[in-house]
Amino acid sequence: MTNVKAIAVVLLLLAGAASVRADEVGEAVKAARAAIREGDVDAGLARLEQAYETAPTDPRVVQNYAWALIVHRDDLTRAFEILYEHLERSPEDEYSRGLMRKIAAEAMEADPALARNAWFLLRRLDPSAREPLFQWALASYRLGDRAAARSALRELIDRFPSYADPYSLLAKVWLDEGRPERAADTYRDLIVQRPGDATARLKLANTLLWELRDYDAAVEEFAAATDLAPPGSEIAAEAAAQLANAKEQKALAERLRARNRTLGHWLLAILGVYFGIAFALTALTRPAPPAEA
Amino acid sequence: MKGASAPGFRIWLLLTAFFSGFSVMVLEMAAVRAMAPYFGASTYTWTNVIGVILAALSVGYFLGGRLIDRRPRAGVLYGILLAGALLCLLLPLVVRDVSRWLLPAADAAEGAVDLVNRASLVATLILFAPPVFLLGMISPMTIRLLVRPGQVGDVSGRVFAGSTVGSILGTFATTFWLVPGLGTRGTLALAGAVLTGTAIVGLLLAAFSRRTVAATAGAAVAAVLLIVGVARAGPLKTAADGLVQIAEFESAYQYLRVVETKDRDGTPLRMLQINEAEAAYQSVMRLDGVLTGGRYYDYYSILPLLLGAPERTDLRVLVIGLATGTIPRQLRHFYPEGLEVTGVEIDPEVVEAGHEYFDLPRDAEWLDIRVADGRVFLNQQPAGPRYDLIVIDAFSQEYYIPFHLATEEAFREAKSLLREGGILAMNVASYQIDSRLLEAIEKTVANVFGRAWRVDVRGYPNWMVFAMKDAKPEMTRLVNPPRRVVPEWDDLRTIAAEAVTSAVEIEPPADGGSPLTDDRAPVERLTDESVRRESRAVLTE
Repeated sequence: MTNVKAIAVVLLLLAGAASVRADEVGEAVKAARAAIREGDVDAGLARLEQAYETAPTDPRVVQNYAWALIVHRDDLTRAFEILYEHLERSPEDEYSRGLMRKIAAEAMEADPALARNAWFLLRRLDPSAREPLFQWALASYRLGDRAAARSALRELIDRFPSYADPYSLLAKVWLDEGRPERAADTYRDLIVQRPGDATARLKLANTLLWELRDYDAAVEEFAAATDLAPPGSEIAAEAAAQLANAKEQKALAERLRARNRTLGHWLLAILGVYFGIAFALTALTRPAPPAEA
Repeated sequence: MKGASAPGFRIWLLLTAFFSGFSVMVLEMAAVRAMAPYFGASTYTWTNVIGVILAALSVGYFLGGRLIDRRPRAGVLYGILLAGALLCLLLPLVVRDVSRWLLPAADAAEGAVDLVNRASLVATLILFAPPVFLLGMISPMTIRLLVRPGQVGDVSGRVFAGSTVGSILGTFATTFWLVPGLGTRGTLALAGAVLTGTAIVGLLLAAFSRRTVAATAGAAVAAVLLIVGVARAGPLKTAADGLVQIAEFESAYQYLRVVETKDRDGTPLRMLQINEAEAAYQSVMRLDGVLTGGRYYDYYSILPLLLGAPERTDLRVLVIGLATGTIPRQLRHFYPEGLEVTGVEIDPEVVEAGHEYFDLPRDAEWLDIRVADGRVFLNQQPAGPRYDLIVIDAFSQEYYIPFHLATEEAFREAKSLLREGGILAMNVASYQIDSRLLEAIEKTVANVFGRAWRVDVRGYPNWMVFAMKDAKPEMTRLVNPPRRVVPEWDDLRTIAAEAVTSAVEIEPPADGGSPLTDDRAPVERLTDESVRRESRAVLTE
């Protein structure tokens, strides 16, 4: 009994110590936040850093420290490292997931490699969500890893056929690789899923006009985009402008073909005239027959 | 044949053959120059001109011989020569209008090369076939008038020799003195004047009568009027709609003009165009800054980022194909500290145009301008690495890369001049990503450097092919360059990030492939292939 009592006392003491310590950590976090609110960001961050060294697994410390690094230091890399470890342990922490999403969004332009890693983690945490996979594909594209981007985008299209963004990015990848016909097919697939999407029509039309020079099809698609776009919208204005452009390009192409045909006729006519003159002169200058002996 | 047997007249007949040969070659050499502003000076144009002139000559030889046998008179020869001479004098007055009538500026679309080639063939037939046909008659006529029994071979040989010597003189004189000194129109007029004088003297020597004097006086007056017309003729080329022509001039290499227009976003844009270009350019300057709206020049300006700029401040750059200095201007703007640029340009008139119209500095310490062939310059450099970046942006005519700047040997020369980690970059004009021209150049570069990179210049038919000496470029340096407070730096950062998304690494072919070499580099044929594919895409229904 004595041993049991002793063990119980020790356990109670430890729990108490932990509780006291947790309270200390909680107080430290509160003090750090207060300091930051009052404008002393450096002091607040120093406290949070210290708290993190003391209690690296405390969610309050991790969340606040990461938040402060993101918002006040712009140190996305350090924040990512902290949150990554935390989310490995506590994948259900929604607030931390939100912070990781913030890192990924802010890093996309400045540091797409970091953004890609962040979205990779978010994909793992929620495999059924579409946005992390798309953003991961976008980051891959920005890093020049078009093969990875293509693969991810195809998966997205298979799983979410009416989600428009992957089609647009996939078409862009195809254009980068010099496959405009594939880009056009991608837009057509999107239009099948979303027949009322003016933007999709507009993008298809631009590909048809500028990459494939299919003027008739381009004019058709621009006209469709104009009809589908909300009146007065930017898309409507762009579609109308491009429709006029496409008609101009088509007219130019037809004019060039007509001129080429005309020149061909001129060529034949001139050669005919020259040959005629040459034959006539040849006949006129026929040598006189030798005089008979 | 009156007077034909007199020794003086016989000498004049030989000189007639000489002047005729001289004028035929002047016409042939000047024909391409005269039509270059409208149809370019590509291999197709040259082929059309040479083919038509040879055909006209051969018909002239044939019919001239038959005609003089029927009417063996010196008056016939000199009458035909005079007709040819007056046609020559008429040429410079009508080349522009006939060319524009066949191919209006609005139809001279970039890429429609089949159309341009066909138009140049028709123009050559209309403009140059008739006078050359007449001149072709002169040699057989001269032989017939000079020949005596038993001397056919001797007389033929003298006439051909005299005519050929005249042709040689005409060839060299046109290129080295006449066109640079008188311009193309003046050169054509000179040929016409020489022939007119020859014909008038010949007619008077053959039959000095009141009628002959009156006819020759009339011809002289006509010739003078035509020459005056040539002297007072307007510009060689008028600007198409949307272009404002600021200056035009002819150099020994090409027809040049400076025009202004509006860029796609409405910004004023000044361009240096050569030959037949209406929308294309050899050099460009936006009047609101140094970047060129995403054109390939801007992509060269991101390469110093791979070399450690802007932190690094000792860049030494060589630009082959300086033109009017677009690239040095950008580099100086973005990386001024410690920058030294050597610019090589083959055409001194282009450099002068750069000074006059494109803010190319004349005596800047950081810029050393050399007028030279780019390959010759490379060959003449003392051995040893000295450059961090070598840019090859040279084109002859509108879209041909000079083959001797796109071979393994040329790239090896350039590589030997690069410091460790230095970059060689080249502008390749290709309408298609899968053109054999682009493939040949990128594989040749990859062969020499171990690997190469190809970047798509979005929105333009250009590609930047580059390679790094003995190192692999850290492409991530393009993804997130440091921020700076320099005008247009953010635009450059955007271009850098875009470049990464289209960059493709090129490995050398496992078996060595068929790189372009000094011995075999069909660059023009591969370029023609690419251009003709584009042309078929535009012109095929």
